[in-house]
Amino acid sequence: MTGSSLAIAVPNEQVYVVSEDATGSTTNKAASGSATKDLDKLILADKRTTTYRILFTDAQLLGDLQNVAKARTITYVGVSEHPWADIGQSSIGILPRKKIVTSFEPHLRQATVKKLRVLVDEFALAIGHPEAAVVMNELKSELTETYKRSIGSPETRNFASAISILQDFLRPHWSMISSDKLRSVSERLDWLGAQDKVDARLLNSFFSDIRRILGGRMFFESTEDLSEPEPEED
Amino acid sequence: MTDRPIPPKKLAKSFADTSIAVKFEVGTSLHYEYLTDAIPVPRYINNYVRMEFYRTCLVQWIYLYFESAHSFYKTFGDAFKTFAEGFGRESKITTSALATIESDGFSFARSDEKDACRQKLQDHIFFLASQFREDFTDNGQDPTRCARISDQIKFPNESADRDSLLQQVAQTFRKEPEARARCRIDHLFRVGAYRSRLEAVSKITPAGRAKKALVKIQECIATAGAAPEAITCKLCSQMGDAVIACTLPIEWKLHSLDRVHEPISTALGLEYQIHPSDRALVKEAVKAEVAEAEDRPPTNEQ
Repeated sequence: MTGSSLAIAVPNEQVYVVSEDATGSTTNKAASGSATKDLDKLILADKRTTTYRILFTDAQLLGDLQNVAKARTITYVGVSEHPWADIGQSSIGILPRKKIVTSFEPHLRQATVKKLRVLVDEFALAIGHPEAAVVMNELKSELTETYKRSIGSPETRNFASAISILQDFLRPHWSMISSDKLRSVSERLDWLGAQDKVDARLLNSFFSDIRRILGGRMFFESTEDLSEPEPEED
Repeated sequence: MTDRPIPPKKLAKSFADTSIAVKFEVGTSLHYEYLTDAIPVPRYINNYVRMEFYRTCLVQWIYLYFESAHSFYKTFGDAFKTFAEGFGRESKITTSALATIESDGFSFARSDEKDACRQKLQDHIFFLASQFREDFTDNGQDPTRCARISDQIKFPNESADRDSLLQQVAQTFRKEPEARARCRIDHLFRVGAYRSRLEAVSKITPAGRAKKALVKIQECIATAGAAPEAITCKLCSQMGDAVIACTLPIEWKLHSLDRVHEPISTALGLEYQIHPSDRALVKEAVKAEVAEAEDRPPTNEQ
């Protein structure tokens, strides 16, 4: 199957390209099992080319997708030894970007919230135990990586800001945060994941809630040298 | 006849000047905790203080946000360092708070993380503006009607509109002649009540630690009074402490970190409180620690 690609054309609407991941990486996990249920969910954004790819790495999945094509009266175009060979650039250019990305945001948000929630809960259990610092670092890294992943698209930009709120309010509290507060943060994460979309109103509400739960203010590292003599007032 | 309880003396409402607002929002944790305890809620500001806070902090960040977009800055760190070179002391401190971005795991030195740093800065701008709105209540009394901050920094419905909103804020702030044409700072020097208060400030004999600052303010008041129509935003900013105090109604209590408010408020009959700087708080904390250690009975190990 190496190097194969499959193009499925949906009449009058959109073109999806299915190909094997060039790096042979882990994408079959995401696709496997859901291929025959919902084709849309298999679409992953490719920021470099603004095209969209469904990636798979096993022959079974190729068979599944062919069945999907048949079952949904999708026209099956072909399999090629050279990825993208069957699809001209003009076809790729008319991909319905907005429709695909709109469905992508909640998917990313819900998946991320689920992951963060697990880490927050783990951290709550780890407080007072030797592994607390490790879990905390994992949570901090996850927040940063999620932020970096989410800023690329206007559709996920507000979600990135929601992540930024967590970074800014959790930062000064790591060493003294209580399990109760973390539980409340978890609940707000659930709420965030359950919303239809993250708009300005929701962002402000999330900001106020997290601030109320964790207290204080956004934390900024101070670079003032307090040991220096006080400057003369101007 | 029954004895009626004597109602407690009504406390003056807390009005925070710009020095308090800045330290409250981006000062050290030690200072923040002190000010939270020392200044009763609700804490008020007015449009003029908001303008000064924006000028000191948020507008600088907006400038940096757009400056850092240029491709000749390979990394966010390059833009940050170059931009900070042009700052005075106060803005440098405010901008240094951006070290926070780096501590979160965003690299100032990597070109592929430049955009992530810029977006994080953008979030800080919007959220700090939100936090400022939550922390301070506008008392709605600004006779200067300062017009430099006409747009509130609030999240637009579409995230794609954020840049244009910030651009608008920065442009409005930079167009001083237009803002000056809409404000009424000159009225302070023409309307009796304010003019007499400004004159009272001019007549204070400068002395003590605030002498230099007071002399400067008095010079600016003299210049402005001679030709009110010619007052510029720069001149206004140089006498900002006097503008805030002279336009504050007598029933308010002025909270500040600037010692210059001591002679000014006294001359105006205004209730005031000068709070210690963060350095002074550190000194006090160290002293208390030393005293406690000296009082402690020696242990067996010692």
